[in-house]
Amino acid sequence: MPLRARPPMEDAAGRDRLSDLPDEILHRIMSFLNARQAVQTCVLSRRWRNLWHTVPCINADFVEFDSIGYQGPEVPFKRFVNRLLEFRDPASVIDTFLLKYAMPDRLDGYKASNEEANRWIGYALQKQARILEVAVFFFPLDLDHSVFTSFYLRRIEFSHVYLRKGFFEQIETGCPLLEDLLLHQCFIWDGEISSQTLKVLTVDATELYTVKEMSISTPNLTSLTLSGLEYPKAVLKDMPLLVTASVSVTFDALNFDGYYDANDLRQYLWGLSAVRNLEFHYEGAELMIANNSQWCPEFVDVVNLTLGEWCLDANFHALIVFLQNSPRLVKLTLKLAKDRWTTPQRIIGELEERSFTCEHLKIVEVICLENDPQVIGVEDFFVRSGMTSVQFHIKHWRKDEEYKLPAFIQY
Amino acid sequence: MAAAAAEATTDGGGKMIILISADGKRFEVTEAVASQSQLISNMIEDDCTENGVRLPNVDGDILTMVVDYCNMHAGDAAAAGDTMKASSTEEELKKFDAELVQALENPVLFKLILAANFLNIKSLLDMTCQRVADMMSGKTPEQMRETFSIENDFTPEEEAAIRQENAWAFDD
Repeated sequence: MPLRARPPMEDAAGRDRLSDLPDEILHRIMSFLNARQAVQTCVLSRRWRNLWHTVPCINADFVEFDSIGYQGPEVPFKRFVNRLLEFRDPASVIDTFLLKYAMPDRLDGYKASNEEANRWIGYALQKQARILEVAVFFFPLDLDHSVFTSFYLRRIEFSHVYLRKGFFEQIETGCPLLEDLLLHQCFIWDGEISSQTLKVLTVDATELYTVKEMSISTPNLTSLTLSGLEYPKAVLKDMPLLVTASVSVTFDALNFDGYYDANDLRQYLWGLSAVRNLEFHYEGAELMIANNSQWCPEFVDVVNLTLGEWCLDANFHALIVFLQNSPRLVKLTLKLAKDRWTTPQRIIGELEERSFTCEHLKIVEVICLENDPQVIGVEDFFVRSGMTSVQFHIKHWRKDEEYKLPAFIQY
Repeated sequence: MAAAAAEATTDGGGKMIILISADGKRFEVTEAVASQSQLISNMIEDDCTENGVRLPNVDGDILTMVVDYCNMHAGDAAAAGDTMKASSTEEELKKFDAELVQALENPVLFKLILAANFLNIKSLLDMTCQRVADMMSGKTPEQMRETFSIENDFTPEEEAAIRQENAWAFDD
């Protein structure tokens, strides 16, 4: 839709319309600035003198003090955050607290920095923060979860944070409104992720330190993303409200003696059987699949299904099993290799019953590298299966799509 | 409910309502489009939109932009579950939004912010405030004053004192 003609300027440029805006709008604008710049507006004019005292969003980023490399900003950054919290209006709430912090790699400095970061987080929670995002660089933050008692906190995003035993129990009892939890490159020292309140859970590139299987018990979840877990087994407990799930499973041959078989996928897939939008990837060691599809539940409500290249292995074995079990499927997306080196066979097995009927399937989208020879095989597969009315969309990977960091730690 | 039944409907069956700008321009939009404004959404709920909604704070040229924006974004909620369209629509929307804010000159941008605030359209308010923040970002206070024609009403001594007091935010 074209833009309509710009309204004529009725007054000459040169009038300060920014400062005319009401406080609440200026606060909203300042919330998009980093904290250092927000404070620096105090010298603009009298109008701006004290506005920063009551800005509801604090975006404190060590990079703002990074003039001489990564070891440089630590002292001025710490002083900055301490003064900011000391001099802001103590009666004013904090809606959003964003902290990007580089933990020093000197042992003596680590303890003090760790305590300070935990104190800042505790302060933000006291001031009724609804959104807490903490991204830590170099050494991880050892989180003190005892301060997590809040009737306001709705969303947590952590990157590179140690979560000690008791964290999940604490947020379960202490944060009754918490709905959204994102853990990226974290370290979980607990055997269970359990919550009655969570609706959106993302666990990405996170290490689980537990002897047994990690159980995920979140009955009110509507959206689940699990990827890059560096421990093979998680058990998904009942999630009847789940609508969207994206799960990437890696079984590492080095961690286990013997071989894996498809039943090892079962515990993931059966927990996801009620979803509408499913993305499922398998990477890692070779997987034996017996000649039955007991490992795969029927996905009665799946409308959108996304699978990785592994589903083409062993003559489309896993693809056929998913299609046989997805009676309502409308759109299938196949994400093929993003580079040329990842093409070992991940599936071993033969399938006798190869027929399927996906009468609602309309679109097959293939995302691949340019000139990926498998694309022709995929089209051919659907034509041979009698799915002649299916539309094919071929998309190519963009360079920047190779690995996406969560938005809150992107620069 | 005779009055309600007599109101115009679109092909899709959505009820139409009339928005009237400060300078008397009239815009006919569907309820779905207008409800992106929390203010109007509340009025619809309270059943007080029958004779048109007068917006004495919003000029016609600004309201034109707001209506364009709302028309463009009305599909958002509906398309969210419809993955057939979602991806292209999302790209189109991003492009539309980027062009909208990039094209704005300062005085118009601030009027649009005030309109978004008054009408309570959160996404438009965030987008326009973000635009202003982007114009401030990376600038020294002196450069900010210049960009927005902010008059420095401190004496040099006062300004020096404030900088001294907040040296922790200024010094590296």
